[in-house]
Amino acid sequence: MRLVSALAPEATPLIEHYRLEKVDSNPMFPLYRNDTIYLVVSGIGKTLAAAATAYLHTKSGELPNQPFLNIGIAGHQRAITGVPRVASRITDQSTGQTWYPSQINRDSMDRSTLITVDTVERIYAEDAAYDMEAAGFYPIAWRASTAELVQSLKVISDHPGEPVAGLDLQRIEGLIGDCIDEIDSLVKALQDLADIVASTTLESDSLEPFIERWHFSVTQRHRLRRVLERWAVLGKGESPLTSVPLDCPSARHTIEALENALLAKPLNLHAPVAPPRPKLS
Amino acid sequence: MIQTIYIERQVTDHPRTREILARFPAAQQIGCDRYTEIFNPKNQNFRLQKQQPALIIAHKFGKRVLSAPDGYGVGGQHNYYFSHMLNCIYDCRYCFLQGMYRSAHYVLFINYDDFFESMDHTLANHPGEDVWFFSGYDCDSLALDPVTGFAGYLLTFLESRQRAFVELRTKSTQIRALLSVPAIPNAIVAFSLTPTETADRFEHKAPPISKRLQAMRQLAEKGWPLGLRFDPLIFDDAFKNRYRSLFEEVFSALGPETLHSVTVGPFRMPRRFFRNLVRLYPTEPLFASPFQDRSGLVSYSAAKEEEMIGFCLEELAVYAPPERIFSCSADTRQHWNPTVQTPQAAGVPKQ
Repeated sequence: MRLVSALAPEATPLIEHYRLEKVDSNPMFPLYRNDTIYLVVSGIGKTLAAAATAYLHTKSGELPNQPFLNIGIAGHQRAITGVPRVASRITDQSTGQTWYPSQINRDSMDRSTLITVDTVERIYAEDAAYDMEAAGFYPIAWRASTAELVQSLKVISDHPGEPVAGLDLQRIEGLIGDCIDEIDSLVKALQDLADIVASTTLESDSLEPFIERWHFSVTQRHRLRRVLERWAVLGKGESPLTSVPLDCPSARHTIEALENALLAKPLNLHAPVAPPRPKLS
Repeated sequence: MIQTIYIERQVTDHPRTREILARFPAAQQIGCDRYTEIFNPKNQNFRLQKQQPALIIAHKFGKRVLSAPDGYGVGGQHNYYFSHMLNCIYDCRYCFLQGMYRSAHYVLFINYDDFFESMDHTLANHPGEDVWFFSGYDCDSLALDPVTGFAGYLLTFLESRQRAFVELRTKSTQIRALLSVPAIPNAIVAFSLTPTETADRFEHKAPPISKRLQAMRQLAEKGWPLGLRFDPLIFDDAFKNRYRSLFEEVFSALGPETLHSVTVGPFRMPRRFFRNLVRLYPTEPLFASPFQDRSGLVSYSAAKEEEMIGFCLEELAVYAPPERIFSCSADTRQHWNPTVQTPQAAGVPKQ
């Protein structure tokens, strides 16, 4: 899980709740982590949010299909303060560019259009939430992951009757802290979705033992990779190397031997699907 | 249940949009400029979206009626297809839509009248000749009909156009629109069928075979011409027993006189779509089947296809007249006649 907040008081309740520890080494952006969660504090504005999101992705190992969640405060034309809103549409006010975060998580939280502005919003012209980071965070996080795992959650902090000028750091920390259960619920839902993607990753046998023994062209490597993927599904734990004669003369013959061995295996598509087996060295 | 509905601003006030929105009062409504903003971007996961697809109500621009792939048809000379919807409420593991589209959301093009106008133009291009239109190419023709109401409009259109033949391809039992009006000879309701165990294993959320047969019987009693689509044929070690049982089950429920056409077609899919499917479901044994890449189309080997098609055609000949049986494969598509076969090319229908 990767979390992005703009301000230290937005991050503090998350750091405490998830028991995150600061990552030392003089980072570009303050970075915190535990075993499964990383959090970066970006600073205010979409440019910093974009940069910090990219930094977070890099510093957390550039793993694919990780959930990304932007958490912060936002103003709103009508919503009362203290309620969390998940973004259903994010618009960059200065460019007009719009993104539609996936809505496959249907929890009890309200949704809202979210408009990212360059300066603090005091007019609240549209029936929408206003922030200063989501339009920077979203496209970068989406580039690093898959759309369903990238969300933005804003706690409403101000509106025309309760203007932004009245906010202080303690109030911001309280707003986020009071919504920690809702935030945690979204964090878990996103992690569950990420687990679905991760659980279906197939680890097939390494190409190395084959490449060391025979010369494979680029095309033949693709074919070898595919036949080993099939082997991982149908081979029932047997090593593919045992199906290739030691005196096999070429890469082409090797691939054919593997394909023929697979053809000889029983194919019962209606049996329960076995979980993927661990990668063999 | 649909929980999120995206609506193109252009169709917000369309009467059919309002009707659909009224059916889902609890659904979240999100406005957009074009459906492509949601449907087309990269880095979407079809498998995750399939857990809770949204509905996108849109306006179809450009060409609405397209030529069917070579050889796609059931005996007609002029074959076209149209898609008033993209994607399907079912989740069939072998379906090529998973590999073709980046998004699993349902797109409904609400400007039905424009589709009918395009069909009229197509008919005008073939004066005096029959023209076939296939509607189940990018969606199931009937599965979402209680929401879209499309079938009712289409049947009204077809009543006065005897040269226009439409195939409604479906796995659905949503046949109320058909049962509520007199049957017409130019609308063929074609049901996709696989052996019961195969349907249970691969056709998630689709009605079981027994329910489909029940729906077919109801339609037959009302005089609707029926199609049987054994497509895709899926091979495993029990292939012959499974398909023999399926044919027995189907033809014990339906008389041959109710059938307009019967088609058989082994699994086949463009290479790019197949790769996407393997990425989505890498541990699925179906995709580890003995397929070959034959000029960009992933399918069984020619010999295996021949064996599968041959077996099915022989079995089907016991039940149905040969002039109503058609087959297709990666290399050939032919009206099946035990003594005369005319090879053509093959298409990939929604399966």
